[in-house]
Amino acid sequence: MRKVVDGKIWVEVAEPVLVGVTKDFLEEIGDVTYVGFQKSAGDTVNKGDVIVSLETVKAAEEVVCPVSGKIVEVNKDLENDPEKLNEDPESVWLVKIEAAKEELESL
Amino acid sequence: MYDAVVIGAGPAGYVSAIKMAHLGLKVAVVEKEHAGGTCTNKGCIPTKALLVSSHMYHEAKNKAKRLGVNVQGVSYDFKAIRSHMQRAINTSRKGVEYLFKKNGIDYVKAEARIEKPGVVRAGDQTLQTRAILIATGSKPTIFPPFDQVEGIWTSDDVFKAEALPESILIVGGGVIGVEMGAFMGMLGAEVHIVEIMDHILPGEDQDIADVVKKSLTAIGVKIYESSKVTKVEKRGEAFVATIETPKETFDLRVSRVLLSVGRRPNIGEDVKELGIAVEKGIVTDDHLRTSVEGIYAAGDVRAKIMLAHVGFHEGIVVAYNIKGQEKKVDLSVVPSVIYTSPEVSSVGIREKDMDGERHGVAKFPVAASGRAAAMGEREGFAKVIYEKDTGRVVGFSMVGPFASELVMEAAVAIKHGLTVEQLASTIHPHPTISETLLGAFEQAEGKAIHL
Repeated sequence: MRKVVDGKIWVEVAEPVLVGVTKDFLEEIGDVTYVGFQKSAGDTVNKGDVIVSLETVKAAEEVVCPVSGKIVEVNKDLENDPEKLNEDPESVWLVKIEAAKEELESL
Repeated sequence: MYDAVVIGAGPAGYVSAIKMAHLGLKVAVVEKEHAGGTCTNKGCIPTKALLVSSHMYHEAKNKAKRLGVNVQGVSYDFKAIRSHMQRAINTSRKGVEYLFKKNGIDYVKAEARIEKPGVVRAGDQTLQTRAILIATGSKPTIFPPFDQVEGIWTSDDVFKAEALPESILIVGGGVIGVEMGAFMGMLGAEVHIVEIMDHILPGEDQDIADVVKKSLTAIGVKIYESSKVTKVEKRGEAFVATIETPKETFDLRVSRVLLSVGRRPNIGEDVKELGIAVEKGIVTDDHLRTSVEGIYAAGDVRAKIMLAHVGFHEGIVVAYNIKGQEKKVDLSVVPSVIYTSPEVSSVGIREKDMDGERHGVAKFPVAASGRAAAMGEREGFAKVIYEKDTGRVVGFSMVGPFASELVMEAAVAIKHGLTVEQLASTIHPHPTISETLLGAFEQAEGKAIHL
C-alpha cells in the first residue's frame, strides 16, 4: 500500500518500509544532479529528520523522514547515478526503514 | 519545420537556442556528446572544480597554521577530487538539458550533418529548418613531434586521469598549461612548464606573469621560458623530452607529457562540401552569417576568441539575426580570467600594447589593502590603462585575490567610456579587494590616498 506525504514523499508500507519522492515533487524542483544521504544503514531516525539532500539544477532540497524507525538500507547506487531517480522517481526508493506500525497508520 | 537547427550544445549553441526560444522561434539542438560542450565537460567547469580542491589542500597545508588553525594529517584523495569534479560537470550539464526542456527546445543526441541549406541530418532523423547555426566548437591542437608519440596528454585527458602523475612536462605556458600546472603542483606532482615565448601567460603583461610565476615557483613548479621541446619519446612507461632553453639543452624524464598549445576549430566535412568559406575557422560577417545563405557560425568554430563567454555573446547575436532583428557581434571588450592563485584578469588594452603618447598607466598593490592583510595575502596589483587627455579607461589587468570577480568594474567602464575620475569618485566598500581598483583609479587621477 502506498501513501503520499505532502505530495512530495511516497511511503510504500511494507516490511521494511520504502521511502521515495514523487514525480510531482521532482518536476517542481528540477532534475536531480546529486543525491546526498544524511543517514546510513543502522541509524535510528525520528520523524522529521533529514535523511537525504537532493541537489537539482536549480535548488538544494532536503527530504525528511516521514516516519520514525531504523534505517535498514540506503540506495547507494544513486550517489553515482542520480539519473535513475530522474527517470523513474515513483519506483526508485531512497531508503528502507523499519518503522513503527502506529506511525504508518497515521500517515 | 524548424526556425533554426543548432549544431553543438556548447556555450555558443545552447545560449543561442535558449535565446531563440525566448524570441518565440522553434528550435532543435543536435549534440553528439554532452550538453554544455567543452566548457562544461572538458574545460572551464572541471578545471575550476579541480583547482578548488587543490587550492583548499594547499591552504590547509600551508596557510591554515598562520591563521591560527591547526589542521593535522592533511591529505587528499584523488578519486574524491574527481567525484567532486564530476558532480560539478553533471550539475552544469543537467542544467543545460533542463533549460532546453523548460524552453521547449528539441534536444537531439546524435551526430549532425548539414545535407544542404535548410536540411540537417541528425542520426536517423532529417530536420527541415529555415536557418542553421554551426557551433561545433574546438579541440586541443596536437602537432609534430607530439602526434607521433603514443600517450601524450591534451587537456581532455587530464579530466580522465585515474591518478595524479608523479611528474609531468607541460608544453605551453598559456592559460590551460598554467592552470593545470597549478593544480598538479599544489597536489605535489613534479611539474615542468615549457613556454616558447619570453614569459608564461604571453597574452598578459610581463609584470602580471611574474607574480604568477613566483607563486608557481613557490609550490615547486619549474618554469622554462624562451624554451622549447625539440624531441620527445616514450621509454617504457615514462617519457624523455629534450628541452632547449636559452642557457642549455637537456633531457628530462617525466611520467606524463601534457600538450597545451592552443585549440583548433572542429570543422566537419559537410562544411567543406557545402563550400562554406573557411580560413583559420569558419568565416562570417559581423552578423555571424557564413558565406552560404541561411547558415550561421558562432563560438570557437570561428577561431576568433575561444572563450565560453564570447560564445555566449555570439550565440545571442545569432539568435537576434535569425529572428530578423539585426545585431552585430562586438568583441571590443572581452574580459579574460586565469584561475591561478593568485587569480589573473584582464580586459581591454594591455600595457604592452598601449600607445605611450596617448595612454597612461597606474598601478596599485594588493598589499596596501586592509582586506588583503586580513586574508594574509600580499601578492598582486591592479593596473589601469587610461587615455591621458580624457581620463577614459581603455584597459585593465589585475593579479590578486578575487581578480576574476573584480574585472567587471573595469569592463563596464571600458564598454561605456567611463573615466578614472568617475570611478575614483564612486564609493568603494571597505574593507574589500575592490579598493585595489579604487587605488589604481586614484593613482591615475593623481595620487592614491592609501599609497
